[in-house]
Amino acid sequence: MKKAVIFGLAFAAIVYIALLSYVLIISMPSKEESKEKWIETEKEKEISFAGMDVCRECHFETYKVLMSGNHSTVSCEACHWVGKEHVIKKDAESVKIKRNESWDLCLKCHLKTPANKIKTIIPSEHAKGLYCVVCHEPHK
Amino acid sequence: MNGKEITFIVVSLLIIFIGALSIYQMHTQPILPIEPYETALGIPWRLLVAQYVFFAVSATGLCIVVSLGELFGVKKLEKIAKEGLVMALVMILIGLMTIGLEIEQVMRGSYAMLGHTNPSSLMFWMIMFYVLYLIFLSFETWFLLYDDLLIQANEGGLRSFVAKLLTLIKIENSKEYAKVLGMIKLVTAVIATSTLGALFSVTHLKLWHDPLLPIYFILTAIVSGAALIVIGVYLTDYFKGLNERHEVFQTLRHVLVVSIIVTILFTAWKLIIKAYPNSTLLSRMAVYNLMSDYAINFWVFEFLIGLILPLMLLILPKTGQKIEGIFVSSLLVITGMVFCRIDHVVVGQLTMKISGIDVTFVSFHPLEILSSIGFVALFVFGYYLAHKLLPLGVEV
Amino acid sequence: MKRRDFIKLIATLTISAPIVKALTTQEQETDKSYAFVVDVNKCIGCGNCVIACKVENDVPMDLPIARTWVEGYSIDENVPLSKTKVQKIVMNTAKNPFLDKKNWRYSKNFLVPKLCNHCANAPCVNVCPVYARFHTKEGVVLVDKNTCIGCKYCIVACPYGATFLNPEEKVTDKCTFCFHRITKGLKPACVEVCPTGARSFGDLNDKESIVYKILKEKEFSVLKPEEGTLPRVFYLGLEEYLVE
Repeated sequence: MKKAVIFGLAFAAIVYIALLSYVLIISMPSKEESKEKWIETEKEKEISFAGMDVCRECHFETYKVLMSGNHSTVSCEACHWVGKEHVIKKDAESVKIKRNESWDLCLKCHLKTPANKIKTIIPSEHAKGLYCVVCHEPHK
Repeated sequence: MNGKEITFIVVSLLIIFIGALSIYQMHTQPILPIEPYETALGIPWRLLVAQYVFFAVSATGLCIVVSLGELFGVKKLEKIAKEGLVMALVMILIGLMTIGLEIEQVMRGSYAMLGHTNPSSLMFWMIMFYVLYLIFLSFETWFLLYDDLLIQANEGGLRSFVAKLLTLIKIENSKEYAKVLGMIKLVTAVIATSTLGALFSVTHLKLWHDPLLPIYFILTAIVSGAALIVIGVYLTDYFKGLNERHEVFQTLRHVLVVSIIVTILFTAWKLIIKAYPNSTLLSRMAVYNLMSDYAINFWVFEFLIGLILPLMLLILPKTGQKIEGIFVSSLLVITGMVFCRIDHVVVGQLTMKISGIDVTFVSFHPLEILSSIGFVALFVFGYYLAHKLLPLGVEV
Repeated sequence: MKRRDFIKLIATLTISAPIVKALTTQEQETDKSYAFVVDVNKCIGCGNCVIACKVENDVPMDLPIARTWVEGYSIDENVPLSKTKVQKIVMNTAKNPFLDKKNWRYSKNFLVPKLCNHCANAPCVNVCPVYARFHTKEGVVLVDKNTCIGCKYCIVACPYGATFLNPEEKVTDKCTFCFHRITKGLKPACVEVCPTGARSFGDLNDKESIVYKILKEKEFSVLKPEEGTLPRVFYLGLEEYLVE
């Protein structure tokens, strides 16, 4: 019986210590390594929104107008949307806003809803049938 | 092998196959694209996790009940030691398989164990202790069966081959080794199950956040373990045409009665404390979810069928002294325990709001249910196979 | 062998390794410590942030999961508070429910944009079994999608519901403060497209940055302070007892 007890305890100790030390010692360096690797992967992800600083480089005049007007807190891509393609190709297509889209686009913010605290309109009462840009210049 | 046995094998293999297909479909969606029901549309831990909890906890319960006879001198329970251990072994294997196939990236499952672990995570410790438990349990079972395997080696056929394979290493006094390892295994099993409970209690979810949850898990482990061993022994005796182990059932009846009474008390106080007006709003909401949307699950299945009715059946001498009465109440207890696990895992998460979305009621996908049934069938089949290949017969 | 190295050696052999490690290694000196400020009063519910985030980070557009989302609260305030009625509206897909007047049932209305709080004591980092979640030295919590096994424990552990399972990649996903943008000096996508300046982002160690100025001047609060998660996302004008 004594032999069995010694064997059992030794067996348990070996299994416990082996597994614990294996798991803990091996895992420490490998997880630091994969952490660094993932940070690099995350950094390399593609950017879609170019940011206002990029827009400013070419469209400085528009930028000045925008900053002096009521829409100074609104960045370019809030309305013109993703600028990735435009920055590379320098074409107008991807960021152009058509006149008939202006109704939807402006009402995203300027529709009267209970929680909206900025200047809002009720579409059925305000200049029916006209595009917003006919009267309002969006960059001002 | 008679006709009934062949039917049993065919049917269970078919169910296992369907279950395997549904698991495969859930992970890769090769046949039909299904809605990603595991995202914000529902809750992250679902039926398979509940099933894993049931399996893992029951395996510990089996070990605790077996160790009463093996280690703590309850002589009458020694007769079920071998069956109980093999059942626990099959159960924990299927349980670990369930959780291994439940995670989204099945191929990366080994990360949780090997070389990429986070020691501050209780899930890591749970997996760790269950693996240790599995190691000790398999060695203990081997030691315990060693003498019988030596006899079986002379039988001839497949059984003899298995026995010869398992007795390649020669040992003496194997029963003593089994006893020592049994003690170590019991300690590991209790630690593992309480870690599983602690895994739930460290979250912010109010139905789970409870320092006594680990103890509750061990307690319910005894309930489900005792009930499972009754079912297993009754069915094997029934099919083998034996009727010798009446006293075992009487001892198990006492174990069941005591543990059910404590469980009722525990459940009642847990919920009363959480629902008491002085508890936080979220805590009361969590209990309200259980009592209103899941009222049938909780009151009917978990409480009435799972605890009260079997307790009545066991206490009344008319039914409690008959083997059939104990068997039926064990079936009821297991039904209740299954619902207890589902309620625990699923309802506990209902106060969560992923991306701001409220989850009020969770319906399980048919594939989930199919795969869950597949795992149960796998367990039954595995236990049957163990009976076929290992010397688990009763010494008459 | 130095004494400190010796302590470390012993530490790796015991379970207490993470604790001792935390005590022996000194706080790394960083040049940046990011913070995010949300001004609840400025949010108008245009939903630009939600859509822009999904575009920038490839989150499925039509599923109700989002790295950042906006919650609208419509409240009928009464005394005592038990008679107060709260109606919650959530925008986490491209469809904007705030534009529909019928969704706003009561008189008092406000919007709360939400995102991952990048907690200093992050529950998701603590519970991840494979160390797929970690803090960068700037304080941002990232998910290593090459390691994540998809056990979903982090989703369960997050008190803010900010992390979710990405059904396309089959790993968990959450806001990273647009880590690929901020390391290049750009603002996060949601901050970039916010038309009213309700969201602002910056470095707390930089005395000139906008968040430093705001947090120095104004009263701020955080979501669920009782959880003790120490968030990096601060709210201005938040009605804490009404917001979930």
